[in-house]
Amino acid sequence: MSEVGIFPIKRLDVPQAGNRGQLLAVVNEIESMLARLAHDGSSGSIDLRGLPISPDDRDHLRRIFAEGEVRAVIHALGRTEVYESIVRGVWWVTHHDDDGRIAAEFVEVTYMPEILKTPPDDIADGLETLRTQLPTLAEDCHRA
Amino acid sequence: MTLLDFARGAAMKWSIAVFLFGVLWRLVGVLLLRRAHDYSQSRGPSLVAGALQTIITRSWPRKEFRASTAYGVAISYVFHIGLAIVVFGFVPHILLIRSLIGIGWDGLPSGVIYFCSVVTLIALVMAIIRRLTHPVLRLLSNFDDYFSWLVTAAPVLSGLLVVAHFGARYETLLAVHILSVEVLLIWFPFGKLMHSLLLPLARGQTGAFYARRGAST
Amino acid sequence: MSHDESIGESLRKQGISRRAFMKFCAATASLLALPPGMAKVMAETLERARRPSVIYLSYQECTGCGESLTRSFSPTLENLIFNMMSLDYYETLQAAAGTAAEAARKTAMKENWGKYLLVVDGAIPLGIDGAYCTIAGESAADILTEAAKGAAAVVSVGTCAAFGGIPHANPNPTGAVAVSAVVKDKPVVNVSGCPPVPEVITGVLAHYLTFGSLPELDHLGRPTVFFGNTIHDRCYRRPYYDEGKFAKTFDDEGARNGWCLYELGCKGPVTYNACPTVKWNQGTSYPIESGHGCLGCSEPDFWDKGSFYSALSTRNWSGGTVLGAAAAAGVAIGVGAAVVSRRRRAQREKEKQS
Ligand code: SF4
Repeated sequence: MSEVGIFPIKRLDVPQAGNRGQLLAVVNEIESMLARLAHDGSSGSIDLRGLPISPDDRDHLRRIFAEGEVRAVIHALGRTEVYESIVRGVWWVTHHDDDGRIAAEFVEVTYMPEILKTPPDDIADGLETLRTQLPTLAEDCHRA
Repeated sequence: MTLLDFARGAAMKWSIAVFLFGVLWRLVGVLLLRRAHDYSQSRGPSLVAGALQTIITRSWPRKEFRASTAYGVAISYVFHIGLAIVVFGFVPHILLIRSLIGIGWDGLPSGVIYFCSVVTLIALVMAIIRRLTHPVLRLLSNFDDYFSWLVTAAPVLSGLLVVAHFGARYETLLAVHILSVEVLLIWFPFGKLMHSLLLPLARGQTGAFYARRGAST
Repeated sequence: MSHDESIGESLRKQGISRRAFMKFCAATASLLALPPGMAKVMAETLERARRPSVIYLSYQECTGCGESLTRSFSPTLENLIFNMMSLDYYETLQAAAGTAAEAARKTAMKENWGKYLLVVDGAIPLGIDGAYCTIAGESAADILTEAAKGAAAVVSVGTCAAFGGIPHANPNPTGAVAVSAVVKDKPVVNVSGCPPVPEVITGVLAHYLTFGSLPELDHLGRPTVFFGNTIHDRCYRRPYYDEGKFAKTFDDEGARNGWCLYELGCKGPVTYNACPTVKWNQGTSYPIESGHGCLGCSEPDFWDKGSFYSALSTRNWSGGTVLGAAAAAGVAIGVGAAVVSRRRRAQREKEKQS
């Protein structure tokens, strides 16, 4: 028994059993997406927000698609974590906001998640940034 | 006020009121009838035993008629038992009963109930087909028979639709289901459905009568 | 920030990268239950769109809706939505007060006449000529009617604005009504809930920004993306409902095992809302996940539908007297019928004897 202020609190750690049928349906869908990717290269994704599965089943899903070889972190309006699962070609993308809460979460079945690729606009920005540095750099080199 | 509010509220209250009124009227009316004096000496050992015996034995077809009535008896057993299971075994129904009379009990798994309701509905359909096609039964049937069938089958069908979320929004289906039961409650005392209360009385009376005379029933 | 600037330009100025913007669109598309491909379309449209003016009016309400909304006001993704709009009048948050505030509202209305989005929370009292709620000497009904005239669309935030809510509950002393009872000639979208899920409010605004129109609505004027399913449809405890496994008290074995809360009065089966998918408190949980049945707060008159703790299948009325009277009348008529029949019989016997 632990106490919160004056209220005695009894802790019970009972796992909330879920329904394995729903979990199985999700895994089956990922399987068919992966088959499509292997067959014609088309990618797919599942929005984890809309899934009516229990917290327990969600953990189970995480275990099936545990982290594999690749992990990337993006800092844009909060952290976004991307990793390829041990089932290759299946990626787990979690967008957090600045407070660290999950804003969106997807399972993506693809060669590489879209969010990792640099958008053309940002490339233009990058080019501009680099070009502003070039004159100073050139000057420095000449001087040396 | 939505349809569901009406079904759970005023409609439920008044239909139960009509049900109570009608049932008590008929039961009291029958029970208080004057019984004819029988001055003969009783030839049976016990009138109560005779009454109970007849209630039970007459619930089973006699050997002589078995061949011709077996089908009808079988389907009506199926839907009577099915109805009892569905009405008194489904948790939401038990909750309603408990909220009305304060007595409740444990329910059956919903899967069992769904199965029973489907079987019940099939048996009910078979019963009405039999009534419509059987030459003698057809002649014997009147509005009361058909209407009583309708108000019995409608709640079973609408209940299944509620469970399956099929045909309309859930709250509408639920409202229709509750309303269909309320129609049944209102009709109950005034039609042949009243047999569920009067039948044991009538049979018991016959049983006691024969027992007194020492006749077999 | 000027109204003429496009959203893309404005975001770029705030140093928000294209990738961050894509992330926002992915999150919003997910919120709106759009197929993942729509995130791209959304990004492209929003890039070019102008920032709309928003006027937010509050009437008979508890500020719970505003509280809910500002919970998504942390410097986060949802905040972006507010950077994409120009919130020109909102009593709860604005710095201006008194005449200055009213002047700000009037200017915003004039400058954006016909184009601004009107957001309302709270019910509108019509009793004693609207005197129960007045601002700067004008009644809520009058201000709303006038503001709605110049609005492109109206968003009723919360069950009070959408359906009258608690002010409208029995016996409704102030004659409170929903916004849609006052505003008849403008599209009104009802974002109900007591309070509504914050992401649902921002989701509707995002939809308006992206598509320039209101989302598809159900027969009660609620966006079907969020109110298309019942809580029960998407409830993770549903398998237990189907199996007939119910918690009987809030602390029994069943409750601990996470069984269905139907017996404890859950109104999930007749309540349409996005709680099970969007969830509350930074995506932590929703009432059923926290162990309490659904109250049905996003439905009209949820306050007047009997106890929150009585099961949906049970009665919703009281009045034993009616039943008692019916029973007594039944017995009386039964006795009467028996007496009449006995008399007749006695008479007949007498006739026979004589
Ligand atoms: S807890 Fe409520 S919403 Fe969930 S399955 Fe049970 S009745 Fe339905």
